[in-house]
Amino acid sequence: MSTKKITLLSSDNELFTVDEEAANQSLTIKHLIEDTEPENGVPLPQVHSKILAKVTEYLIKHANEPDNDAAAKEELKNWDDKFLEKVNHETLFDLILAANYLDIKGLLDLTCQTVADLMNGMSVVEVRKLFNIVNDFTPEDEAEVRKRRKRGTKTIGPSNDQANQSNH
Amino acid sequence: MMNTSDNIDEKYFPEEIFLEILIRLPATSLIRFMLVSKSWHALISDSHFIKLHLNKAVQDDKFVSFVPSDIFHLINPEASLALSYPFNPHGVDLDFCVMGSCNGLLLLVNNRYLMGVWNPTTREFINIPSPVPPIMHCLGDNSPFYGLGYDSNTDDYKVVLIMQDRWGVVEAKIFSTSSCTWTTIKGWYTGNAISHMPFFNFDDGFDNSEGKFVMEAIYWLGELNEEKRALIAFNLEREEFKEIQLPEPSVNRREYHAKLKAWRQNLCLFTRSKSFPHPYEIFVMKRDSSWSKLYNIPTGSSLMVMTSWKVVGGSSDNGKVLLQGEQCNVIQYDLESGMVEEVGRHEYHTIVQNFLKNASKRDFIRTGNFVWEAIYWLGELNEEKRTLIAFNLEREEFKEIQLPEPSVNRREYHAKLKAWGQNLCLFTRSKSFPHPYEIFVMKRDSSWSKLYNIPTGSSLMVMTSWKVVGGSSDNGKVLLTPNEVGRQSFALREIFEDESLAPRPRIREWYLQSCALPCSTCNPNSHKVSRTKGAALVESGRRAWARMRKLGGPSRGVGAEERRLWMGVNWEALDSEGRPFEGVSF
Repeated sequence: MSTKKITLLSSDNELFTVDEEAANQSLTIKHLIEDTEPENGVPLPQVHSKILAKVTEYLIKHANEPDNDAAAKEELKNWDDKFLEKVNHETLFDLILAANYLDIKGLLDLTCQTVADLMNGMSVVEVRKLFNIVNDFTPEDEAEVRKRRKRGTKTIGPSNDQANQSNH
Repeated sequence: MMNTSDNIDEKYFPEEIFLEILIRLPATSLIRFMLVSKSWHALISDSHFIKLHLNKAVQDDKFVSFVPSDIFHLINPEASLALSYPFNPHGVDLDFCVMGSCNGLLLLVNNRYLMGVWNPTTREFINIPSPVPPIMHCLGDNSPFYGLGYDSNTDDYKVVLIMQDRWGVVEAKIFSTSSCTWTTIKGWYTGNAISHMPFFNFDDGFDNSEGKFVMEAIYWLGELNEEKRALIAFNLEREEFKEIQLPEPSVNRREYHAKLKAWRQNLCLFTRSKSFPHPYEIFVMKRDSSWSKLYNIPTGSSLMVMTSWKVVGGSSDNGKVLLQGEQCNVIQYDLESGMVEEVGRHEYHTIVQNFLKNASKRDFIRTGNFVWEAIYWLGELNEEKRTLIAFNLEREEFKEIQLPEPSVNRREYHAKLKAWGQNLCLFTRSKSFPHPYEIFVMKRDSSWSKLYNIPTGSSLMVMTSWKVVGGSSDNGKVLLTPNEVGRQSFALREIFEDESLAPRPRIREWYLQSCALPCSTCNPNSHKVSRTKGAALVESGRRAWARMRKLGGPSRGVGAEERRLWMGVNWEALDSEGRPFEGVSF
C-alpha cells in the first residue's frame, strides 16, 4: 500500500518528506494542503530546518499511535523521553513555538510538560533567567505579595468573634 | 547537541504558551512563581487560569489524598507534605475536622462552631460566619451534617449544613461563597419519604457526617433507624434534596458498616460485614443513580489483612484508596490492580488522626486536657483499643502514653480523660452492670496509680447515671452531671486520699454539681486563677475565653501562645473554694 508523500519546506529552504498520515498530525499543515494544494512543498516560513528536522522525526514516530497495546505505548513513551533528553533549552523553546504554530497537540503537550518539569525544581530567580524575564516588582510589591501569601486568611461577613459576642 | 546556551534573547513566548506550560505545574510551584513578574502574577491569579488549571488536574488525575493530623498531611505516592492548619499555624488544632472537600478545597470545622473553606495549596482560608449560635453545633447526637460543593453553572462554592433544631425539625442551611449569605431550606423534607425521618444518627463504625461532592451534588449517608440507612443527595444548582436508593447489602445497619467515598468522580459505598470474616464490598453509583458492585475483596486473599484495616483516606481521584492498619501505617490500595503500596508511616499523626475519626461525638473528649506542659487526648485505635496521646507544648512533639489496663478494652469500658488538679486523671466505667467507676491518676513518669474505686452498692451508685463533666478543679473536686438536666447541686460525703499524690491536699469530698452546662456561671474576677491552675469545664475554652474577654479580659495581654493554652484547657465552673460561680449566666 503506497501512501501519499508530503514535502515540507523550511524557512531556510530545506525540504523534508513525510507520509501524509504523519504530516496530518499537524493541523496547520493539514489545512494548508487542503486549502492550497501546494506543488513544491508546504512552505513553513516560521520554522528553521534545524527545528523542522526534529518535528518531522516526531511526526514519523507518532504517525501510528498504538491504541490498546500497552507495551507499544510504553515504548513510545520511552522514545519521547529520549527525544527531548539531549535537547538544550533554546531548541526546546523553538520546538514549543513550532508545535504551537504547526498545531501538533502531542508535541505541544510533550514539550510544555518537559518545560514544566524543568521549572518545578527551580527558584523564582532561575525561572526569570530561563525565560529572560525582568523582575518588574518593586521590593515593596514583592513584600506585599509575600505577606498576603503568608497571611492567607480572608473573612467574609462579620467575624466570628463579633458573632460570638452578639450571641450573649 | 550540546547544551550551548541558556540565553534565549529575543525569544519571548506569547502568553498562550506560558499558559500551556503553567497549567502543567503543580499549584505549589505556581504560588512560588507568582513572584516572577507582574504579568505572571496577574496570569496565575486570574480566575480563568485557575479553572483551566483545575480542569487539567481533574483530567490528569492529579488529586492527592489527605490525612488530617496534628499538622495537615497531603499524601501522594511520591511524597507527603505537611502543612499547618490555618487558624493556628504554629500549634496544634486538633479540633479541626475536615467536613467536606471539593476541587482541592476543604471545609474545616473547628469544635463545630468555627467554620471555613481552606485551600491547603495556597494556604488561603475563608472564614464563614456561623449561621447558628455556637451552642447549636454542640448538641452531641445532633451534630450537623456538613458538605462543600461547587455549582458550575453559577461558579459558586456552597457550604451546606443539615441540622435538627431542638424541636426535631430538620432544616438545611446553605452558604453561597459568592454572595456571602446563608439561606435556609425548611421544607426540603416535606412531601416525601424523608418527612417523618428522625434525624440521622452516626454509624457506630464510621463518621459519615461529611458530605461527598460528586457529579454536581453533595451526598450524605445517614441512618433512618437501627435497621435502615438512607442516602440523601443535594443538587447544588437547583438547591434540592432527594433520597437515593441504596444497594441492598448496606441497608441493614445491624449487619454492615458503611462508608461513603468520592472515588474518581463517582460516588462509592464501602460496606463491611460486622460478622466474621468481614468481607468488604465496594459499590459505585452510576449517573442514573443505580448501583454496580465494583469490587469484592475476596476472603482468604492476602487482602484479608484488610479486616483490620480501615478506609481512612479520602480516597484519591486516581482509583486508589487509603487504608490504615493497626500498626498505624498507611497503605494505598489500587482498586483496579489490587496493588498495595505503603505510603508512609505517620506514627503519631495517624494515631491522632485515628482518634479524630473514632472519637465519640457523644462525649466531648475531643477537647484536650492540659496538664504538665502538655495536652492529652484520649482516642480510639480500633474497636478494642484506646490510645492516649500527649502533645508537648514546648517541644511540639506527640507521644503515645501507656494506658492503665482496665480502660484499654473499649468494648467493656467507657473512659474519659480529665485534668484533675495538675494531674491527668482517667475515669473508667464498666459498660456492664453494676457499672463500677475507677479513677486512675498518671504520675510524672507516665505510670498510673489507681486513685479511687467507687464501691458498688454505696450511695455513690447514683453515679451510674451521672457523667463526669467537669475537668476537676484544683481543689480535688470533680464535677458530675446527671443525664437529666437539673438545677440542684449537692455534696456527697466520701473521703479518700492518696499520699503518693503529695503535695496535693487531701481530698475531702465529692462535689456533685448538677448544673446544666449552658447554665454554668463564671466569675469575672477569677479568670486569672482559673487559667493558672489549669482547671475545668464549661462549654469550651474558646467560649469561656470570649466570655472572659467580654468581661474585661485577663489583666495582661494574651498572646497566641497563651491563647492556645486557653483553647486546650477545659474551663471550670467552680471557684477555688469549690463553689459554683454566680452572677453571670452563659
